[in-house]
Amino acid sequence: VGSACGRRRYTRRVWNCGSVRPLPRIIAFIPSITATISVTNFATNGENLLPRLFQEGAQFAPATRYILISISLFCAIAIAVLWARRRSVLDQWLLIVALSLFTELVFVALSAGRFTLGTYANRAFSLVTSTIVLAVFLGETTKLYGRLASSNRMLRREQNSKLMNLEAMSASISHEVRQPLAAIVSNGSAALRFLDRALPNLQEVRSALTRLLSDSNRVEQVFNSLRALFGKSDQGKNLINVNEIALEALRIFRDDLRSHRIITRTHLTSELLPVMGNRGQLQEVILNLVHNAIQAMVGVEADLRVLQVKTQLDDESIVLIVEGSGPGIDPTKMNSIFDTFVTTKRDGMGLGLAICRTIVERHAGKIFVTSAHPHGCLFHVVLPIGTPGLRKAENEFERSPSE
Amino acid sequence: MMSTQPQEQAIVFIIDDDEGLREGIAALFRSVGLQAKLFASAPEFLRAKLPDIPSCLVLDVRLPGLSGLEFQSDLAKSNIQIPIVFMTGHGDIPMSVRAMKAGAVEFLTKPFRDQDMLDAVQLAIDQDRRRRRDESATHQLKASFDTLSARERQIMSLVVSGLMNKQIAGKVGLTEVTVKLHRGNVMRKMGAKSVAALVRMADILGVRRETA
Repeated sequence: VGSACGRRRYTRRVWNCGSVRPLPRIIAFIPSITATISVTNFATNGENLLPRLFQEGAQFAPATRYILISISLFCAIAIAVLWARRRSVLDQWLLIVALSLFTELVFVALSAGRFTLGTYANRAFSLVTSTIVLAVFLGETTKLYGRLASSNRMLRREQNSKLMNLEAMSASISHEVRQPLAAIVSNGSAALRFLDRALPNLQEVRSALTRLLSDSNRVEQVFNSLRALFGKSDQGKNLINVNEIALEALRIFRDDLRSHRIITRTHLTSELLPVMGNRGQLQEVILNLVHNAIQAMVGVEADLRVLQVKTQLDDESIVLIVEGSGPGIDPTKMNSIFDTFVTTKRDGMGLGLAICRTIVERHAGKIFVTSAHPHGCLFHVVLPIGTPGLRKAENEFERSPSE
Repeated sequence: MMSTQPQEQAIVFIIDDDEGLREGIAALFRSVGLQAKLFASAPEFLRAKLPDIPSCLVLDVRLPGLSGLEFQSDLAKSNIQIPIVFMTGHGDIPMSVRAMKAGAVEFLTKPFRDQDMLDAVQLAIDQDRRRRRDESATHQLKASFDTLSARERQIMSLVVSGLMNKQIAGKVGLTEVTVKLHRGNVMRKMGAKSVAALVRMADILGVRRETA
């Protein structure tokens, strides 16, 4: 029944179509038929009027030579340029494409004319080469994309582990401190309760207070050992290019910057001299500043999120500036922002900038913040160029050839 | 100050690998007249001979060897029912949820307020005391039940099934007077003042009821 219904509907539709506009269709045929007739008439009777190219199938058009020469010239230049730079896999493949095109042109130039065996052989050759090139190119692209994706994953992992290290460190510090703190609270309140008794038990009060003091010393020990820990990692100092670690920090946060739709601008001076320092620690400083800037810009309108990283040479020192267009810092907090446990974040520990200051001061530098206009703030890291010891070594090196 | 007045002797067991903290908490308990016994690890606690009085366990989540949470489940598996108050150096919420679900009395973050710790321990000891009272009642009931003769047990199960003396007599083939005698013995030996009390005892003991 269903199919019968369908058929009935179909017939009706055909009938409707035919009945609605029969006239325009017929009219539309007339000019096309006329055109066909006149073209056919022209081709058969007016053969002499046709261009030479149409009359002699095997001949090239006169302009072909110039076109061939100019394309071959272009090809040759491209091959030369590509051969000279040959930087990436892409360059190599472009080279092969240019070569195959060049060979094809040579074939065309050598062939006797159009529609000869040579022409068809040339066509076949170019088809095969372009298919092969395309296939290999696709394969190469896929492989490169795969490599890109995996390196992206690695970057993300690296970034996570850096941030996690800091979190793990603060968690273990807090655990180490909570332990003696709990003991201090227990001993202190025990002492008070023993004192509050109708007959105070002074013996117990004394021993509770003695334990309390030794627990307080333990807290201090925790921080002493922390300092020792920092001291250890302090030793590996090298000459470091600040531009390099700034770019690396941006690279590590590349995905974050993109996902937060932050425009990144860099103004890195080319005349930057290296500084003497611990690469990992200085890296940590820049990472922290960039991370803070990203977090500060979360609440800002997407079009206004701009992160600027600048380096410049200033007298005897190198200045690195990280500027974010976040809401800026409350002027009353401007001076205390680098203190430990001072934070403007809702869930911050107030450790990041304090660690930054410790590291920068350890490198005989300074770190400070200024307000940006119309909003946001600039963090300046000022580091001295090299060290006195290093400069002496350089001088000696300069002197030795003259002696 | 009800919490600081122990009704009878009780003891708190403290397991923490930090000696300073152990001593501090012990002093806090002593200051309110609570006895405390200290252990550096879970195995040390298991090896010790423990007094059979109301008690509770103050346990650090992070212990050398097995964690506090693992120890909690181990105790539950070996049917050692001691209320546990947990302490932790990290305010770890998932961990505290797990501990509370597994029956912990309280989960305290170091450093804790002294009163919080004392309240938690008092609550735990009260819980243990209640459990012990229930257990000893059951124990007494069992002892009484053991003194019944086979005939008396049979009569008891018929009585708690709700049968009249006459029906019982018919069922077991005794005279009604003899049944009455046995029934009196059951009530006396079990210390039951009414049939309702006897039914409750039978429930606790798990005496099978005869269906009429």
